[in-house]
Amino acid sequence: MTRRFLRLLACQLLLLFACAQARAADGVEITRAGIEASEEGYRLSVSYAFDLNAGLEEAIQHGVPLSFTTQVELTRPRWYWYDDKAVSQRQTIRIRYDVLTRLYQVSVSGSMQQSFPTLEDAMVLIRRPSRWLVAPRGALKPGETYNVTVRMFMDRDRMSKPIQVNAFNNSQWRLESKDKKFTYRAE
Amino acid sequence: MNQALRYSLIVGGGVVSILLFLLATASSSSGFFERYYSWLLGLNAAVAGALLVFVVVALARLYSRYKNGKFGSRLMARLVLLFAGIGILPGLVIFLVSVQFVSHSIESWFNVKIEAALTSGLNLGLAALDQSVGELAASSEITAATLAGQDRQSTQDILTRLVDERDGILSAMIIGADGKMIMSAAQNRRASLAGDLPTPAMLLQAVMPGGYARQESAERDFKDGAAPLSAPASGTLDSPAGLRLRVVLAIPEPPGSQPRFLQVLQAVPVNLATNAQVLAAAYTEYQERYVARTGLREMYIRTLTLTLLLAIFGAIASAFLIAGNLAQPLLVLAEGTRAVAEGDLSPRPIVATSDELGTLTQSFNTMTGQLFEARSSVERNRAALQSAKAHLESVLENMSAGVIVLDADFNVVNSNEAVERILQHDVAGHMGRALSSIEGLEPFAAAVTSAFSTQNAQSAAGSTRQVRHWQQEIEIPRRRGSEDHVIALLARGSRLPVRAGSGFIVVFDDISDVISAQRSIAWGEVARRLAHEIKNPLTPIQLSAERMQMKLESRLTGTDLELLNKGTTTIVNQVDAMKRMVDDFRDYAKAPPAVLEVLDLNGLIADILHMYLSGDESDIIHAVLAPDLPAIMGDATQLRQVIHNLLQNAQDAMNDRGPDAPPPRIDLTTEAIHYQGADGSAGTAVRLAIVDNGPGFAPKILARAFEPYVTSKARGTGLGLPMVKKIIDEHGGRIDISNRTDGTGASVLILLLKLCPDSVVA
Repeated sequence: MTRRFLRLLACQLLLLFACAQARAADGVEITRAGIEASEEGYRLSVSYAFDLNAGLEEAIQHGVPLSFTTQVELTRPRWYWYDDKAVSQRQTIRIRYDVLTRLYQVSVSGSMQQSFPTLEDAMVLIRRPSRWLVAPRGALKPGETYNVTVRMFMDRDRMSKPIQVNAFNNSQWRLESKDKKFTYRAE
Repeated sequence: MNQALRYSLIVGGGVVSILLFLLATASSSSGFFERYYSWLLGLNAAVAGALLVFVVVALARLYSRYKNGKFGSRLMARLVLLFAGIGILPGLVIFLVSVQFVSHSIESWFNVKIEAALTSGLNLGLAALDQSVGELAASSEITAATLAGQDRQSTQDILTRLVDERDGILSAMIIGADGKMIMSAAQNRRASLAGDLPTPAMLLQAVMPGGYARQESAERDFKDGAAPLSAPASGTLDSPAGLRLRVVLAIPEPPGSQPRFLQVLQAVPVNLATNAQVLAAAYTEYQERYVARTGLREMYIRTLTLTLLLAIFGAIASAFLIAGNLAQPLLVLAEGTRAVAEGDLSPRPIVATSDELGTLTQSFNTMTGQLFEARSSVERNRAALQSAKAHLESVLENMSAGVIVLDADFNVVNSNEAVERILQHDVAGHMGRALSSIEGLEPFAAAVTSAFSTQNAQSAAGSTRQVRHWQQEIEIPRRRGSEDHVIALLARGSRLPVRAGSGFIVVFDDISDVISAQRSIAWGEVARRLAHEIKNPLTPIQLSAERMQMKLESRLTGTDLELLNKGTTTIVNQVDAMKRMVDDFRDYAKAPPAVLEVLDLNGLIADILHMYLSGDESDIIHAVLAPDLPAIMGDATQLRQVIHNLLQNAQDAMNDRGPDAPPPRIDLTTEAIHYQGADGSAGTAVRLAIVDNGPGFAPKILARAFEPYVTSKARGTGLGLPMVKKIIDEHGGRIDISNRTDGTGASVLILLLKLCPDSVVA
């Protein structure tokens, strides 16, 4: 009896573990990230690989807006003190389905919104956002090496209240990437 | 339960309350609490777990104590169950009702009818829009057909007419294949139409049959209000808010000419647009809520469950605390009662409360204090009684007279040590037996019994004098000895008062010595008279014999003379002997009183020993004289006689020794003895001891050695030791004769107590 119970328990645990693994695969993967120097300043070029799960997709179809926020931090290590936080920027992309016009509207904070007739088209803009000015020229010291941390997640704060509640409990409503870290030598 | 635990529980309770409050606010408000909702949940769960552990540990402890029947565990268990029940049951009821309420009320917000109504409304709006789009598309197609092949001027006219004639048309424009505007007409002529240009995708669709025709939202700015980094790409601020319809069609140009597109923008009537937008917003909101409903319910239930668990565990923990608090004074009291039962009357720790329990412990302590007082006073009385009894007993034990207490049936109840010494029978060992049944005491028992009977008879005869006791001389045989050696006892008997229980008490003393002394005096008197009477005729007898010899000696010859001489010699000798004997008697009976003077006993002894010692090794007398012997008060002549007598006795005893005895030896020692007087003052005495290794005194002689005419010698008068005794008595000393403990020889000890007052008292 006890053995059977233990075996059952072990199976449950394995299943749970497998689910956790699968869910981890559900997360956002940052496929490419880099800082490019341009004339106005430094731009972040980044691309993600992820799919919306069924729950999120259905929510979008019903007109629930979703926000994805990219957070980038450039820090300069200092041996005598805390790291110098040179740049800390956030960019939020919102996707929303307009039931009246039957269009997916993607708006990037600070720039115009675009409409797409299909979700896939809209998602392209989210997965491969345009280069984004994270720091004006002069914010970084040329020649210095900076640690760059990039993270992307579904922004709960920008959701409407009932959905926020849902996001606490439902793991389907949690979508985030791990920190992507790389160094950048400022030009 | 100690103080620290109690305080930590109180603090923990406060923390839990705060956590619960935060959790509850987290469910309703946004921002900070929402972000940390999971943390709050986890913290609360951790607290609940800690409480659970505490409760489990406490319950296990209580159970084991209950199992072992430990004192107080039953009361504790009952109180804990009671308080826990009071805490848990209402909590459970509220929880169940709340859960029921939450799940039902949340579900009731959403039902199929509302959803269907919203969807239908939306579809209705969409249908209306679609229809408008269809109409616009149809009219645009006609316009496009008229535009085909027209020159520039007429095209402009057509466009202007279209804008002017049809209601709601915002703008109409001709677009080239490259997407650039060729010409346009707008209702608001100042408006910039750059932002309204169709996208390439629209143009692509416009080539298809039917063209591009759909409604779109006029607002394009980002609503979230985030500060834009770069300026908006195009100015659409002046375009009217709301919905508009866009139709893009390829103008059916004659073959060979450049392809051109017609785009017509029409505003949806404000009424329709507003309603449709409200409907769409409501629909979206409803859908959001619908999606979130499971999570919401789950969160409410989770919070409620956690609250319930915290409440339950808190209730049980509080139950333990309260039960402990309530039970503690009772346990202290119970412990105290048990201690009192075991005889421990020390004060208990007081429960410092002002309520009845505190009063109870205080009065309990007062009670034990009084008990303690009472017990100690009883103890004191008992000790006093005991010491009094011990005193009485010791008095009884040390009395020289024998005391026997008898009950009504003449059974021995009590006796003292002197009884055994006097009667030479063990009476104390026969406690509870009849006196007459003790072997050897039958005559004594018979005498006592008859004495009491006589007393009864006297009482019955109505003697005028109240007879309280009787007195009688009783003679009982010695245990070992001949018939004529009896112990003379003077016994007194009395009845014990009836109050103390019917019984008799017999007190008796050995008066053998008294009788012996009386006998000595009587003998002395007899001897003195006899000597006087005998001595008178002796001198005439002697003188007559001497005269006969003197007168007849010359006249007789031969055998007659010989006979005369022999006869007269015999007479004279015998008379001499008789005279000496009579003198002895006279001396004994009428010894002159001792004249006490300061005397050096050692000097006296040395003087006497000159006569006995020859100075060589054949001497049998060994003297050991203490050098610092104090001077005594004594009569030198009489003491000289004492020493002579004793030494003579010892020497005589040597002659009666067996043939294989060790060499004869007489030890003469003097020493100073220090003793404590009856009044506690220190005193000094001089002891003279003469010890020999001869055969010792015969037991028969030993008992009556100081009586005259008691002698073991063939030719003794038996007056030696009586004389010695008499002299020593006159000197106020004591004489003690005994056989040596090892059975070889006799010892005579003389203690002289009168010392010269000037002599050094060491």
